[in-house]
Amino acid sequence: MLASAIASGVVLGAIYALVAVGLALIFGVVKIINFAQGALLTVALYGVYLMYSHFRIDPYLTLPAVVAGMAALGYLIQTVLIDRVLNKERASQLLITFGLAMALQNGCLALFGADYHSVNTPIDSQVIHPFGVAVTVVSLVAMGGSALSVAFLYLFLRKTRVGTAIRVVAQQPDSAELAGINVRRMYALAFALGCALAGVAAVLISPMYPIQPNVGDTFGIIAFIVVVLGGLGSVTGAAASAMLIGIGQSVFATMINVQMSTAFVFLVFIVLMIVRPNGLFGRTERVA
Amino acid sequence: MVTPMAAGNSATASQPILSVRGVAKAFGGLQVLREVSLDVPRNGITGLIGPNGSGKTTLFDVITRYQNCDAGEISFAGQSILPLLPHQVSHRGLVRTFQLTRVFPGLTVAENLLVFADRAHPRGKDAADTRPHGEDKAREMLDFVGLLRLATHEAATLSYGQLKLLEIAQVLMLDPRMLMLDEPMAGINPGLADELMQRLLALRERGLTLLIVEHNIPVIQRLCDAVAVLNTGQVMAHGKPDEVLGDRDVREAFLGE
Amino acid sequence: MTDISAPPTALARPARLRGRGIADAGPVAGGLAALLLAAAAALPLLPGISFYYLQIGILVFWFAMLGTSWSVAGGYGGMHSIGNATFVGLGAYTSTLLYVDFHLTPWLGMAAGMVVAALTALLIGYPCFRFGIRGDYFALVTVALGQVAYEVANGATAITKGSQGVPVPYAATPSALDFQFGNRTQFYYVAMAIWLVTVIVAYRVRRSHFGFQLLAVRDDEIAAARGGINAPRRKLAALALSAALTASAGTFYAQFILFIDPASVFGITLSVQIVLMAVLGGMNSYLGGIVGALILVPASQYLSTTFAAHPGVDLASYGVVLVLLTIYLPYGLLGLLRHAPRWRSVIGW
Repeated sequence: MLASAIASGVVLGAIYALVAVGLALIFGVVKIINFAQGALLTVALYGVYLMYSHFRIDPYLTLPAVVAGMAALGYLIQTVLIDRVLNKERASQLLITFGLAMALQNGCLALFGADYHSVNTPIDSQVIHPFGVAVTVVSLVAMGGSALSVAFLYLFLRKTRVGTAIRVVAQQPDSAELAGINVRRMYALAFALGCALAGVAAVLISPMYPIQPNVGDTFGIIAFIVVVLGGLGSVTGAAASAMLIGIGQSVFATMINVQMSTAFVFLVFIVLMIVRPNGLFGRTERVA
Repeated sequence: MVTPMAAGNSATASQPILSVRGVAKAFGGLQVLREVSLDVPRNGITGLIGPNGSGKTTLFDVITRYQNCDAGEISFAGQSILPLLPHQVSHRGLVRTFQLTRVFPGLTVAENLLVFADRAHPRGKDAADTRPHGEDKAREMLDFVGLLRLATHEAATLSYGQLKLLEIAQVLMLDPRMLMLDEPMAGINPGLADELMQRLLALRERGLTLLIVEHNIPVIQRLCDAVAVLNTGQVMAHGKPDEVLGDRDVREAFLGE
Repeated sequence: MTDISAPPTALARPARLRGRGIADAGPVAGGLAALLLAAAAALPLLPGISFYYLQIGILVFWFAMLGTSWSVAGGYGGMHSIGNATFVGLGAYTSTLLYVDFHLTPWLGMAAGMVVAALTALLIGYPCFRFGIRGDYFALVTVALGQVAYEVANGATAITKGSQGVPVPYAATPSALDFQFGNRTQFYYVAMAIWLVTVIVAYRVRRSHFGFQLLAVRDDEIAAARGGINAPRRKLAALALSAALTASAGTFYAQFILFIDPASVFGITLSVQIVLMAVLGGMNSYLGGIVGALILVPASQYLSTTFAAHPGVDLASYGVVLVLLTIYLPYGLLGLLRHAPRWRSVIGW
């Protein structure tokens, strides 16, 4: 029992990681909390669904299109919307992503209705049994995909010129401008990357969850918790705390109470937020 | 090394109003203050000078409890203030200004003063009671710093020099026993600086004690009864301005600037 | 710039250092406001007025009181909570459960709900402010709190009856004592009365010395501290008051709709709507709630009836409005007046 709870926890954690890492990146670079991350996940999922239902493309094969589309959307959101409030009150920055989340999510509801949809892929029902624990192949793919993506992002940030420019903007926004980096373009890139990651997450989880307007909610909110606990702006911190939360939630749900497992996560968040606001791993300074 | 000022000086022979003993403070690996000891005599103007990074503002922060110190003892008017929170330090009568002027931009100039009227003139809960006392004093202070005609203007619209004056008026509303001013002359033109100095001297006549951080040597010479020099986190000299400023070690520390 | 040698002239001495609040409005604006209030009071008396419009009126007052309650903590105190639904739900569930299980009159239940909400606010606020959690972080905590409240309401079925909700039993002979009224008109006047009380409280707080100091804390906690103001204590008081006022609206909802469930009173959508009311109207003003509600409630009613076949359109447009607001009108409608000294004083900015 415990073993399978941990196994599903690991899978859950991997998915949280993918969503949270994008959020962490956006916060680290643009310095805003993107409340729309969950809604963006929802939009991406509907993108997968559209291509699946209209063009009969296998959900996994929609990856390039979804990622490209989400990246473009993210770039657009940053340049057209977020950019306008970056120099204004923090309250405005808070509310704009909230408004965006409401608009996107309810837009999906209005366009597609509240019905649940699902997508299928040939490997849907395959299950393997490592160490005697039943694991579906799709969840393995999700885990693998997530690990790959996070690794890719990490390498991109560390090893490429653009990635380094992004990190400079995150750590020293003022000097970055002086060093000739186009800071606003880096913001847009970071946002685009964050959305692209949400796109990857959507593709990977599409065979696992029903597609409906609220699907992004829980992921979105838990992504915050993950990011804050991991130390806002820290990609590796987000990945690590995502695993912890995923496993913690899954174990709690199995061993104690399914209903309250989400409440448990939020409670832990509130407590940790107050006691260790820099996150479990983060060195980043708390932004007032 | 200049010897400390002898007791029985013109300022007072009684207890120093502020007493700092062996204060140390480190940020991460950086030891900003090491073993700082300083006495500020009552009713005098003491200057605090030192190269950038010597820890002057940190010392201010520690004394007014915006930061904790790692070691040492600080007492004000005979009582230790280490266990206090910043607002409680203010209640004891020790008030500071900030290097980067802090006022309330969302309030008007007058409101910036009225908000502190509470303590200066304690009254009941009803706002109506405040007006005769608080408003009069606010008027007086605004007049004192020459900002009365801007009373109903939003504080955010003030110029830098005006903000500095506003902050001074603010802290005076609190009827402090001792004022700690962090670079009050920075960034204001000589005419205004002159005015401000006159007012500070006038305040000293009214019984106020002042501790001023300044980089401006002529100001120090004109204003201060005593000067302490902070260098690499320690007080390296303390005495009358002429003696301290004439000391070779002190000049070397500054020429390194 | 300053000339201390010249004697002060009459021009140099402003007659008043502070605005007089409502008194500064003058006869024209004051008359207009009185007229609007009278019109609102007369609305139910119009011949042939339909339930529909009365219902909208009640909703306007309800959202207005929620918006104004939010402003007390969010506008005056800078505590932008996106979790005020928590307090709505606490108010609604406290009074309803006390009524259903113990037959306690909802009026007392409302008071109990207000106390519960205030205590919850203190419970969450104390550690937050003690450890300097503010701004975005505080908002996140309130969001998490809202979620916890929602999940607990859903999960603690023994007490709260879980997701199926709690119906409020309709008394055979509705009486004011049971906080039940036979017709919409009476509910309308009750809503208007509670709203009026909320606005008056918010106004008095704004004009009080406490309110003043709260604004200073909002602007700069550090500067406030050096002036002797205990910032955490002020914020706690404001948050508790805001929570209590919000909870009273929760009780009203329960008695009006006669059914509550976690989704309707603890939902995050409600929290966002509350913020939207205040922000659209002007978050720093005690009148922000009613201005925001007067615009948004009828608009969203119109949208949801026109697009009844497409659920989500009304909330999506809320989202769009919020986005546009933050870009083009960050201080809301009343915020447009904030630079004019006289009107600034009237709206309590």
